[in-house]
Amino acid sequence: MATNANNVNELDNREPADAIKPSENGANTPVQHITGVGGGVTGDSTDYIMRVQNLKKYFPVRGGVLQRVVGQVKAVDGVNFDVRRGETLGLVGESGCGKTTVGRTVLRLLNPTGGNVLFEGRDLTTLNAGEMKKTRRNMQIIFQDPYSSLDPRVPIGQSVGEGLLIHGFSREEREQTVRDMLKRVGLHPEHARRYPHEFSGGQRQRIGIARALTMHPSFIVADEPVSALDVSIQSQVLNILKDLQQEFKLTYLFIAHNLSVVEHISDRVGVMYLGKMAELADRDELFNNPRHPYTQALLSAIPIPDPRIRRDRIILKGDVPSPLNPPSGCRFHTRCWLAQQICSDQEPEWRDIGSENATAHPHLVACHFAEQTKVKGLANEIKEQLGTDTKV
Amino acid sequence: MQNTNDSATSMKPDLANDGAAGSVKADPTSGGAGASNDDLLRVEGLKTYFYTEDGIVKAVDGIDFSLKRGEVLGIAGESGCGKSVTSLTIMRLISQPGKIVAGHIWFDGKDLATATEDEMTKIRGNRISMIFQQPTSCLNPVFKVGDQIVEVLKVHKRMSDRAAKDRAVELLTMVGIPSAKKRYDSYPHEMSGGMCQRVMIAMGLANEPELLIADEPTTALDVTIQAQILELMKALKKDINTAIILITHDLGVMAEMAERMVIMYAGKVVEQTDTNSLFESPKHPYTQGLLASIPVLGQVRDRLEVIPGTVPSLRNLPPGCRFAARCPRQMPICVDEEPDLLKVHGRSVRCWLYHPAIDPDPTACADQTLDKLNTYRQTQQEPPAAAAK
Amino acid sequence: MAVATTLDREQIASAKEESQRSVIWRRFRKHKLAVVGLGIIGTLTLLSLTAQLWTPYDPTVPGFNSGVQAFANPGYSNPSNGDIYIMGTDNIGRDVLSRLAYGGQISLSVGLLCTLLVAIIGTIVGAISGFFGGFVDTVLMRIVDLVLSLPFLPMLLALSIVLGPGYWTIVIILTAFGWPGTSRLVRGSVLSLRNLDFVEATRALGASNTRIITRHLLPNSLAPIIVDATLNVGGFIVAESSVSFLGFGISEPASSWGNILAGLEDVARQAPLQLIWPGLLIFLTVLSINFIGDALRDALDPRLKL
Repeated sequence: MATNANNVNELDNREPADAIKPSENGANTPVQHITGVGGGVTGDSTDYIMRVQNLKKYFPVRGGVLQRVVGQVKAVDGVNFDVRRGETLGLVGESGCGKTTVGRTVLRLLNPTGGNVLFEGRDLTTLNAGEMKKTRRNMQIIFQDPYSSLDPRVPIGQSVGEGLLIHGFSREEREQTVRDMLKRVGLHPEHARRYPHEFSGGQRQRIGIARALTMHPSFIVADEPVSALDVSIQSQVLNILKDLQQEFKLTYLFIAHNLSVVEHISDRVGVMYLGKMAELADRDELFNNPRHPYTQALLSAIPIPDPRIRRDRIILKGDVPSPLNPPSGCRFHTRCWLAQQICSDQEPEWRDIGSENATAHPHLVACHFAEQTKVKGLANEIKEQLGTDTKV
Repeated sequence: MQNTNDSATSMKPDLANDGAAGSVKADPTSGGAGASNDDLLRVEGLKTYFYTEDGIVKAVDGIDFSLKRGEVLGIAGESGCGKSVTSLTIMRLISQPGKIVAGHIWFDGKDLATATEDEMTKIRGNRISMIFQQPTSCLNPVFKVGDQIVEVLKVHKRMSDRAAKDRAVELLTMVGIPSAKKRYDSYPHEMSGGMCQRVMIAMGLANEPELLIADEPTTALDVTIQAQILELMKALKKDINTAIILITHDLGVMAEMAERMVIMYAGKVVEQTDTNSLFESPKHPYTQGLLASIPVLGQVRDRLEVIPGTVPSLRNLPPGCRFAARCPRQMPICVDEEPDLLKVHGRSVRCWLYHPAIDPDPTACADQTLDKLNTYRQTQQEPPAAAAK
Repeated sequence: MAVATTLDREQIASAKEESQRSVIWRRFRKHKLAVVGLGIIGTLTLLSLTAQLWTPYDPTVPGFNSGVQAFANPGYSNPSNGDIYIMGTDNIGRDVLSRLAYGGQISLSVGLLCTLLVAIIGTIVGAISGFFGGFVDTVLMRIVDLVLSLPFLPMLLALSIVLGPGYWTIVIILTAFGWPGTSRLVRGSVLSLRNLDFVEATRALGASNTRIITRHLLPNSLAPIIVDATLNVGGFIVAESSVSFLGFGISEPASSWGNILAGLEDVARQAPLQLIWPGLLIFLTVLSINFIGDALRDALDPRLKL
């Protein structure tokens, strides 16, 4: 705790000049993936950049003439996860599962209803406005919609440099950094004076990325950063995100609904359903050995762009229940084909069932029957159908 | 609307002249005039332009494809490639400043491009129907969903109120809406997106159309709901044997649903073939790039392939191949000359790489290549069709 | 003068760096009618402000034939002393031109000042209400509802009894009844903007609420504010006349365009021409302001190609 706190102070005391010269850190230093360190399950030897404990975010629903609170949308209802330094943690789920709210709440863009968010060892929920402002330099966000994420009335150079302005960097430093960052994401520095509407969706997304990176943050929440983009532009942006992660030693919390994209970019993946975490494991472990029935259904629902592959699909009944009035017990029990009495009575524990490949990372799942839900797994299924190992 | 017809008619001779150099005859699938008895829909040299203040937007710029009865044809491409405008043009739902500039839309022997508005009204929602991406905004929020289906039924068929209502409930049951009788009285806002899309499908299929155009039918839905809808569409197709034009940018959905595929780029068809061979060995560099750039579930790659750059503006298109500027196999001729839709191994590809007279050599001199091409054209009289490399 | 400096600056910064202000001015100039409007408003303001210097007669003192109903047509020359009345005289023989010039001081300043005050108060209240929402919003909007539900005339009576008739009474009354509309407008605009991602992004960068409101929300709400303000100018000039007419504003013998118009109502049939002068000035002012507003709105929106 103490060392971590020191760490933050150090970061905060950095001279602005240090903070804005990311290129000096060099593109050649690869990220030290701490995730591989053995025996780190208990957490002490693992370098966590963020630990989220029992996070809750409820939105009041008002009704009637007096606008009294008549109910609460439990958008996030008791979520636990850790983010290791340098990794990409993917967060998937369908609309309304609370993944976007988690992204906003861990950055304290929304104030949590309950729970703690430890960032670099300090609980963000206890910071005052001034401390929070300092911390914001180290945590940034990239948005889904490239059209609403930039102020249409502000030239993009000003948008990209706004963080530096807020944190008191000089004009020269700002202009230099903005130029560097724009170049880094593949745009012309001369474009700084242009307005957002003069750019395409993909270019705007790059501008959004540049804005998030100007202050050299260590942690970035990427909220559906490619889902509004065209297929051929998606890969450009995904590659840029990967390159920047290497170059700036970034940690990503990558939120998306597209499992193919999440599989591509993540080191570990968490699956959310109706405000709860259903399953969280290493990428390969999760995709090849999914244990939560919801994860299995989700994986089977993805159409694979290869007509040779015909998969047995789990078709879920009905729709996601309302988060205003979530089901008792396991929230998935209303759509689960394995559900039994216990599922509606008792909420399943968030527990580690151990990885198949005996990696150091826990395979966390919230299902009463996780031990009995083993399926063939995606890679095996594809291998069987095509007769080859598709892992490249 | 009359205007549109006039212009389309007046453009006809022009198109005929253009046809030799253009792609109409080059397209093997369209064939001659008589060879298309089993084609339900045949689009020939269709051009839809939008006359905006900032210039002419060539949203659809000479496309050809055909569709057999009961077939599922996929049209794929990125935003701005013209796939949605194509579907709206077939439905003749293009309004000012858009115009059908040239081409034919043969639907069961009738040219929809020149049909009158009255004729179109009889066809729309009856013989051809359409479902859209945003089901919630396509339903009228102030009417019960059941009544909206009844309306579709009664517009085209003389039916008693009672019969229409029974049929509507039947349709709702068919698209898998539980307790359909109760749901008949629901308003759109009381239903989820997936449910609304089911209602849209029920409306689309109400009159058992010969052709259903589905424009991104599952894009706005979650994957588990998408799976439900795709499953439903497959089952319904088996039952009613409707031909479907499926428009989507999701190649996964394409692979699963479509029998044949058309890939569009910047208003043109760049490749057209059956789904299996398209995914197995894409021929056009754009198709190749597209397939290589998407992350595929279960196939982890370290880096994705990238198609550099962006789609050219439809107001200001390059003179040569529209993909040339982004193409990894660009040759000098690509920049100068627009390639024809060539037949290669039973498929159509719009790319010089597959032209019999052209050496796919990126260093070849443009003039030389052009000379070769002209000589070839003179000897062939007709644009090359059968020859393949 | 402003024109000259901006032009200079534009030439200096010609190719590379063009200041935002000069970009706006360049875009504004593309709207020809607005430039004409600016000229008209400028001329009217200048003539009103310098009325003391150039008007030929005292606007409050009848020039001839006092006491009798005595209209004079435009260009009338008094045979007794050779005085010429370019625009004629009113029913008690006062020079119309002088009265209009002095009246312009009142009318223009009431119209512009009230518009400005209403825009400022309405914007502040609306922005706070829309941005913070919740309790603050509820309280402010109930106040707005309250003001909007008050009957205008009885309140006017009550207020002017408290304040006594006069220039500032008019300004206060018109502002007090004007701001709620604007604040609702701004609140709506802010409400629709505040959940957009760019606001969230700015917050994530560490920006304060004040910065978010002033740098991002208000610039994006400018269009409705400007349109509302241009509509208000005319409204206030006319409202001033009704307030004056009821005797709670500018009272005789001082003049405003409104009370010139109001004072003529029972003699309009005898001298319809006299009605035209103040009406024409109000009309020109409102029209010019509308053009300026349109041009300003467009010039400030970088998305529009001009």
